[in-house]
Amino acid sequence: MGIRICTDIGGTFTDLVVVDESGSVNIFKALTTPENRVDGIINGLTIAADFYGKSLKQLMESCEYFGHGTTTSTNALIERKVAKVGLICTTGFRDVLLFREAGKENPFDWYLDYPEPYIPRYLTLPVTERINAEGGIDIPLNEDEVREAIRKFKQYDVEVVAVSLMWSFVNPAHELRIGEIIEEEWPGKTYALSHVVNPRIREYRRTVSTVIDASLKPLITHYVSTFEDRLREIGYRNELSLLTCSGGVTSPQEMIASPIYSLDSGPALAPVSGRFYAKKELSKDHVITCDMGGTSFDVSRVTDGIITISNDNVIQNERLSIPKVDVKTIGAGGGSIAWVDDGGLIRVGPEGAGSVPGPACYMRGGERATVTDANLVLGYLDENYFLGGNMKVSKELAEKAIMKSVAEPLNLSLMDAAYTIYNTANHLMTEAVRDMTVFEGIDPKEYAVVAGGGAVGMHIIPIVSQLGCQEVIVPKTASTLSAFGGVVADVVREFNRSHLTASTGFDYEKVKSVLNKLAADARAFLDTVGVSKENQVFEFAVEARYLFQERELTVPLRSNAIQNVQDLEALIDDFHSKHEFTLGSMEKGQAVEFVVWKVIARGITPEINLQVQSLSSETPNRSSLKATRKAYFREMGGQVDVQVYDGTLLQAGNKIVGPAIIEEPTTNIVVTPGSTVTLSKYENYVIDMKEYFAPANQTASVPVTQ
Amino acid sequence: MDNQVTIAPDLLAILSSKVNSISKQMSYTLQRSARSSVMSSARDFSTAICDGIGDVIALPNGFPVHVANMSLTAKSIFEFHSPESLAPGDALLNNSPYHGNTHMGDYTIIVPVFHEGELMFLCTVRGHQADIGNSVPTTYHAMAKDIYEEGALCFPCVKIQKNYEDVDDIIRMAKMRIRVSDVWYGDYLAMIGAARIGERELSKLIAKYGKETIKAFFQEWKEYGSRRMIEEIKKLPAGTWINESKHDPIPGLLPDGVNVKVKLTIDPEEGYVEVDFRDNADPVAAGLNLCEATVLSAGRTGVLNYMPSDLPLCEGTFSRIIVKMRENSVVGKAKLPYSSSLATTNIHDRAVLAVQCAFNEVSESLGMAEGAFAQPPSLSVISGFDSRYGRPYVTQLISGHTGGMGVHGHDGYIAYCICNGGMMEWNSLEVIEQKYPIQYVMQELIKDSGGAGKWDGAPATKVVMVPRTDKVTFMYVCDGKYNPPRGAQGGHNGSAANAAMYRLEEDKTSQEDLPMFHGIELAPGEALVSEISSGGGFGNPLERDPERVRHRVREGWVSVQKAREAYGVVIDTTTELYAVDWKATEKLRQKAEQ
Repeated sequence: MGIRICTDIGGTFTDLVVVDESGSVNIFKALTTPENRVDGIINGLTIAADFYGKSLKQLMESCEYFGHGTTTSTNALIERKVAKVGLICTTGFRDVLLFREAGKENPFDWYLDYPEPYIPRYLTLPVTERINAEGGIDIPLNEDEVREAIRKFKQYDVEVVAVSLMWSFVNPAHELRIGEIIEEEWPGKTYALSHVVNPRIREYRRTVSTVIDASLKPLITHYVSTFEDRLREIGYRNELSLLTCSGGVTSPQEMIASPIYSLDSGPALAPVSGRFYAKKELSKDHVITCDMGGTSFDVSRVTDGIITISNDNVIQNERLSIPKVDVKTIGAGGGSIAWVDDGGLIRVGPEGAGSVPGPACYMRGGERATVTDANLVLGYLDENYFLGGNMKVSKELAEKAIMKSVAEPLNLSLMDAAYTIYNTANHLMTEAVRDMTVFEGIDPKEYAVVAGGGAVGMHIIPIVSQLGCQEVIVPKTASTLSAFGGVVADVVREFNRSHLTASTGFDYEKVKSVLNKLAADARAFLDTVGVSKENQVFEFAVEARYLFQERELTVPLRSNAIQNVQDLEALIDDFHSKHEFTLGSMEKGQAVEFVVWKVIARGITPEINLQVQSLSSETPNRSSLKATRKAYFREMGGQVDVQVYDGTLLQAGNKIVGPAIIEEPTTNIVVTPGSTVTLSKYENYVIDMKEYFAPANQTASVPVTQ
Repeated sequence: MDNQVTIAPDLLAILSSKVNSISKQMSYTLQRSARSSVMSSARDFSTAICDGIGDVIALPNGFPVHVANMSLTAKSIFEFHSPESLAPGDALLNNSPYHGNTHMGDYTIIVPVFHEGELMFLCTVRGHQADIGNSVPTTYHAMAKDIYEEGALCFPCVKIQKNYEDVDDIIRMAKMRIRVSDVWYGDYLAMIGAARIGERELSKLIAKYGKETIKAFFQEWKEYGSRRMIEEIKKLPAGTWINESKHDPIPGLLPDGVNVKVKLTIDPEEGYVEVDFRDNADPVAAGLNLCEATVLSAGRTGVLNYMPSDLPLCEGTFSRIIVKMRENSVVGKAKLPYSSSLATTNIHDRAVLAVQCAFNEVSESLGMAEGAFAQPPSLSVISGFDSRYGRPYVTQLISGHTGGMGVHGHDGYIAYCICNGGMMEWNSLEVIEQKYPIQYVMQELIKDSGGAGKWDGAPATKVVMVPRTDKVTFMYVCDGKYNPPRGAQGGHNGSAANAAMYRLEEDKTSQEDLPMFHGIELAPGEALVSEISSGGGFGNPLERDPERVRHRVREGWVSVQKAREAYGVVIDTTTELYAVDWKATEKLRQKAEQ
């Protein structure tokens, strides 16, 4: 096995994960260089090369796989530094991007601005044409208007032209013709057609996906090609793999063709890590992945080894319908601010302290209490060993802030106030996990949890104890789950097409041709990105609903075709069961409509063999013991002396029984009573909660808040 | 009995977010499993969790007209079913405006949740059914002179499930009297499913925390809501203000329209706001009468529109808003035989606006104009037979409802609707065209329609629809043609609503206006035109930032001519983004002010 490398660029640090020839995993961090992000990566690679005693060139020449997640497109979208796009639409529907799907968060809030459309209206030009719901042409395309629109776009110096017409995904004739006219009138101009980008019903979602895709094209084209050149310069010889929002990787050409898939690719790779670790450590295929950042907490889900993908996702006010890893994010993290409102209720977040001023304990002028301040006061963090002793913090300032902003308004002692902040934050995060599981009819008890983020080790045990999860992994690469996910990710892409047919009068012929076409596209895609035949896997599914229903459920097909009544009956049964399971009701006998057919193309990565450590005894070596410290455990009546372990000196096989604290340079694990942590043979922390939930230990499962 | 259990501050936060999350889960489930486009796509439903006596504990993201009164609807069940007579597995259906519900189109399912034999929660789900068996195919029967002409099946707190199973006799009766009853039953099942999921999750919650803790939480949470509201009311001055808003006349039915009057009293010392609707007319022999639930929601909504948006929506908060009404009035408690078929929209809209605009005199830092009125033809209830699939259908269309009012500091919100606080989602036009035999010719903003102000009202929207292969019946009830939304503090009025039709082949020359309260069967090729009213402007348009005017002109919302005449802004259109002619603008504005 050659070296595998993946990078993930964050706001402050560029993370680099390297799996070397022996299967040993190492993390390297370099400062992010916002002007030219590649520089930060090359700095990181230089650090890694030094570590392995190689030159940069040697390292890169021995690299068989280089994965890269870019935040370029996400940042560009947030800052609206995207290309100037002109949109051609059907006459009468110029305001699709303004209206969106209406709806609003808070019913009583009117003191707010309505968001502007993604493309200004003066660059949204209608052309006369109309295709109906069955694909018939009611009004032919007025080509003169198309040419006139393109002339206008030329005059305004538009960089990319997007085309999104009503019903184009059923009959693309007019969009295709407009594409030809663009090539005639403005040779070489980049353009995007909605039936290609996102061939799904719902005019707004299809249109907004198309214009966002168009607006990212020049940027991604430039970024990807420059990046490839730099990699070649430093000696990399193989194909670059780019991380996508579908939780997989793709080739540079494919990314340039569909840049919208580069959005939010970082969070999408965390569950890939989660799936890998749960399989490796526990042989489990049901995984919840939690990734805790400064002010955000991301949750994603893997069921039966399949990462949950959603076609309903919101990015920057816009609702896209591209297949994207379903990640639920809430505004709670170490930097979240705790406060008490006018009615005397404790609140945590969504506002965060950022890095400046940061938590009060950072001594940068922050006066408001944060979750990190609470962790410090509760004794979970050590004032003298913050970030492995690399950062000075003040417990006194943390205490002051908590007294002023929480203890005094609620009339609580300092410790009770700190615990109130901690416990409230834990429950906010618990609710986010609940949203991803219980809302979908899934019992979190059947899931293993993989937790990432520097602060997560202090919170994850109380979170899972609320959910009933028995096993938790805090991996060695916890501080960078996404980059590790990029090392072990498969090539993935979903191909889909709307074709409506019902269980009564099922259209076998058309469905066959739709599925065949999708499968051919999927195969061609895997061939193009260079996945060998034996590693190609295809999954077939359909989105279905009851007659007149509007939201669909995705049901996997049992094989790659629906050939006869038996196949159809089986599919209908699967739909009824899924409906009852997730939505609490089913209607046997009621007709089922099949709406969107899909094929997921997967190129399986070669097996990654991690280095295995030989197991030592359960009892940790004396050298790993640090001084005991007072920490607060509500279930033990308050502050108690607990043993602190130096995680860097623990050996595989060591078992730590709570209450205890394990300190690593970038993370702390708070082991509560009733839970046990083992350092595995792959050097990940595996937390066992069985004792906690054991019947004999019922007192411990009573919520700690009572 | 005194409650011994005290609730720690973190537990208060935790339990409130848990209960709220369960209510959200009910909403999420219902939206995904409902059948009719009105319930699933437009999300014309709300969920709430009440405690065992029917006080609202959690109300996430609900329509104001549905939820600011949920407690009243839930409590009504006790008139017929004592807590002792209820059992796990029961579900009650209440759609009666005479028993605490809104209009009969809204079905409220109430599921009691027990723990150790004690009634702990009432899970409530309210959803708008596409058809309810009215004498005409709409859930809004304006012409109904009484409940008998209205024709809907009325369910005053009827037990519709026992032991987790339908009371089949009732379902069978309903299926005989309701159009496209498959969809009706599917929507009913979706509501039951959502309520049962709420029941399941709430049961787990009680088992985990214990009955006494949960009961102590109810008390604490209500007190918390009350404290938050008192703090807000204390910031306002004491006094009494009077306001009114007048619903359009309806020829042949209400030749003079209906004037809705309100007296608003703020008592910061005691921490109350009183909304008094008692000075209103007697009931009318039409479907427009409000009922107790909707008068209550109108009063509360008008006040809450003024308050910060993070108030907890629970009984404690609501209890600081006292709504007074007469026994028998068009803006009062409904009484047989008068019909409340439109109790959630038309007069209700006017009542909300009368209250919210009464506040304009209260504070200088806040204030609102009037926004657009329900329900233009783009919100028609459509029905007929779809020969493409060989099936009948009935549903309410939802789209093209713009016209938010200009408010202090912000232009009007585009996706506006009074009764649902803008939460209603619009149909995807492609989805409607796939499911029903109509086609949209257009759906776009109307240029120059928004009421001009320092803060503009949102423009109106024009929607044109045409039947495709079969005849389609459209029924709509639209206010705002004769009394369009009024501007405030010097802002101009919004534009008037309109309804019309024309033949596609004869082009728009054949266009003729239609009545604003109307039912019409159109054939393929006959287009229905819907123009809602627009939002009123807030503040003097001559004070509007000229750059905002330029932007709106460039975007085609406002013409160069209106920019001059209404805002005193001169626009140079020679550059790509246009430019403000500052000198000419200054001159023009000076002149206009003289």
